Amino acid sequence: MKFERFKSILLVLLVISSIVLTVNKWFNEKLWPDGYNFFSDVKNYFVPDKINIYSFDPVEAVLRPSKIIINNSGNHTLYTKSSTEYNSIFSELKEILELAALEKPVISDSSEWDNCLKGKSCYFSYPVEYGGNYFFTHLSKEHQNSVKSLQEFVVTIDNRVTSSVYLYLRDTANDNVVKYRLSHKSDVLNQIIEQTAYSSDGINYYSFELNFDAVSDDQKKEHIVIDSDVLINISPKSIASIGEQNLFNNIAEHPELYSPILSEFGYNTSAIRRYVETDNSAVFVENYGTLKFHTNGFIDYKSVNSSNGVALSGETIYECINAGISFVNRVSMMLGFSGDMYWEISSDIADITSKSFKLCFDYYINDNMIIIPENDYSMKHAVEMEVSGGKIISYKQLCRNYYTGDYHITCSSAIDAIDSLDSDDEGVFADVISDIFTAYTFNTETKIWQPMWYIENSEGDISVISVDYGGAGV
Amino acid sequence: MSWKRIKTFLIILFLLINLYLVLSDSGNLFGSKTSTRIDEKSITQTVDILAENYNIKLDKSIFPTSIDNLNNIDVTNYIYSEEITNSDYNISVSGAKFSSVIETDTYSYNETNAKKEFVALLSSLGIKEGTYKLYFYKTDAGLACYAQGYVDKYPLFNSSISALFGSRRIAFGGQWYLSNAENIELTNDTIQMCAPSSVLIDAAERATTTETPSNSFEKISYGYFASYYDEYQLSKTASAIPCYVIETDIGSKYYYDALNGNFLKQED
Repeated sequence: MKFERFKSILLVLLVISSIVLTVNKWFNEKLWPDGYNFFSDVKNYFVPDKINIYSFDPVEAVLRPSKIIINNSGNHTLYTKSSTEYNSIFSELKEILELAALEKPVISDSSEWDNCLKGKSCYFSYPVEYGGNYFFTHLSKEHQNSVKSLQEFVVTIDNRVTSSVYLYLRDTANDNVVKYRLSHKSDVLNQIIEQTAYSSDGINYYSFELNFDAVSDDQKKEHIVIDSDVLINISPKSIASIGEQNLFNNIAEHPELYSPILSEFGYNTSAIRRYVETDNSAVFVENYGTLKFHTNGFIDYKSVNSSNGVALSGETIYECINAGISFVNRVSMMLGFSGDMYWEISSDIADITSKSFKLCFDYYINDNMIIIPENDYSMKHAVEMEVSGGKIISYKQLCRNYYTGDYHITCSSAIDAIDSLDSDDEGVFADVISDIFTAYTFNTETKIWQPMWYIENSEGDISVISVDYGGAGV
Repeated sequence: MSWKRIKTFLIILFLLINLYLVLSDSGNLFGSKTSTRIDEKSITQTVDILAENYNIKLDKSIFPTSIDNLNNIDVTNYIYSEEITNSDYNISVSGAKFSSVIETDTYSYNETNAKKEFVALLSSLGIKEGTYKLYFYKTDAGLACYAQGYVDKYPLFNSSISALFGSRRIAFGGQWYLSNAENIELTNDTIQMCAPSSVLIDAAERATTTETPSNSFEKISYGYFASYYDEYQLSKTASAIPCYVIETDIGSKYYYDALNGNFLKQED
């Protein structure tokens, strides 16, 4: 009897063992390439794809406005991402945008837009144009969007109707203004606007309030013309100095720095080829691409051809763009940038209609962009990524860290910078100025990063304004 | 038939099934992926194809039946090393190659004293014993020797230094790569090499379409080849990749990347 029991147990074990061995053989990926075998599909169904869970959502971060201006009857207060009030204000605006995504707008006009800016309202804008569908899909997959491309919004309230707010946006494709009437209590927004009035320092004016937005062609010939919504400050600014650090010094001797980035680019460490150049730059070559870590602080990736490269996840164009943004964020997180830095998208998303596109980002610190010395790195932007058919075929990123210094630099006011512009100059000055801002620029003579005024035209081209920038403060 | 007999039959059956599954998947099961095996049938087929389609003879005995799966390794180009900088000799560099002539006290060289002095010379250049094998041969100009570089037991094919021994002088030169890897560890994580069959076919195509066609393959070697990512630009380090070298009866050599079978170069 005992012997029979032993035989039964042995038989059961042999059956289990043969099942395990058979399953192991079937699911061996070298025998059954993914996607071509029922068993591989079943396995992949139960083993979910690696999901990157972020406490910080890179796509959400990119889709936050770069500027929020609270208007209260002639007082205008600017909030940027580093402002302590920014998150609470944007939280309210995001709720309003999510409501707008589900509504259809009506046609409005520029005069109504300007009136909103003069009254109690909140203006917010993004650094680049977004496609309407891309923007609203992020808010709601069931959006009712009909706007082609957008960059600026205004939210206003009606004191007589506290259960509604009005959202205006300008369709940059045709310059039309549309308006949404949204069922949303205005008390929070009203409180934000009222509180801001107390803290306003009266140094900011819209271009139209200073009559810089000329309307006739004759006026355009004689004066510098600035878009009516551009905020201009009339007081000098005190901007913190910054320092710079090369993250890739002797990079070839720091595998702890480059290995995670190699993995992110999908490099197989078993088959990788490593080369150290005479300037100590490290080059890694695999079958499909070359990734170079330049010793002067930038990464340069090139795939062998447009059909190979780093595949981005995502079935739709929307998902592919987001995957690209997430990729940039993942690589950036590995580089060890200072907590003062962040990056903003610098390329318009409105024109992206396929899975082949270019994304550019720039670095910011203390709310000021860092202008890349183009000649040093053959790059105009801090990050330049080219995607073809959903695969990254080219990627360049500046890998230098910027941190806040220990003194401040006094920068002249925007008004003084504008005054120094010569309206007879050709080029970017001849066009309408769509933005004026300060950015850190490397002074090759003094070897310091200096905040300087820049103007941007409607094509997105930027140009520095030559003006006396004053000296360093404390 | 009683249930007892059925159980016995099933136990034997499942024992055989388990044995089959274990043996057929033994590579994956026990993680033994350190080498790529080439079966007898594949070898025979390759030899036949070479003979019938290209008229190339290949002795089966030189065909490897097992290839170690090697990882790429980093090697330093000798011309950028500290050893050459600290050397006492007046060494000239041209591209990746270096050369020099030194005066000695020996009027006449034979293999014994040449070997002794050459080993001492290599040692003074920072090239350790154990990282090369010496081969002597006679030339019209006298006794010559070349040191073939090795990484562990694998030749580094394009790492060699030649020497010509004259009266009170040794002229030497070559191309050398230094490796920190003294022992190559074979691991289960290495990618399988491509079997020599595909590279032999390609080599046969090349060897029979030249001005002087080859009639047979005399040797199939396996080792490393130091490669650059840009053939026009030298770098301080190179990546030594696993490599096949096919040698023909007329002395031509064909080099192939053992990972993917890509042609690397030809030497006539």
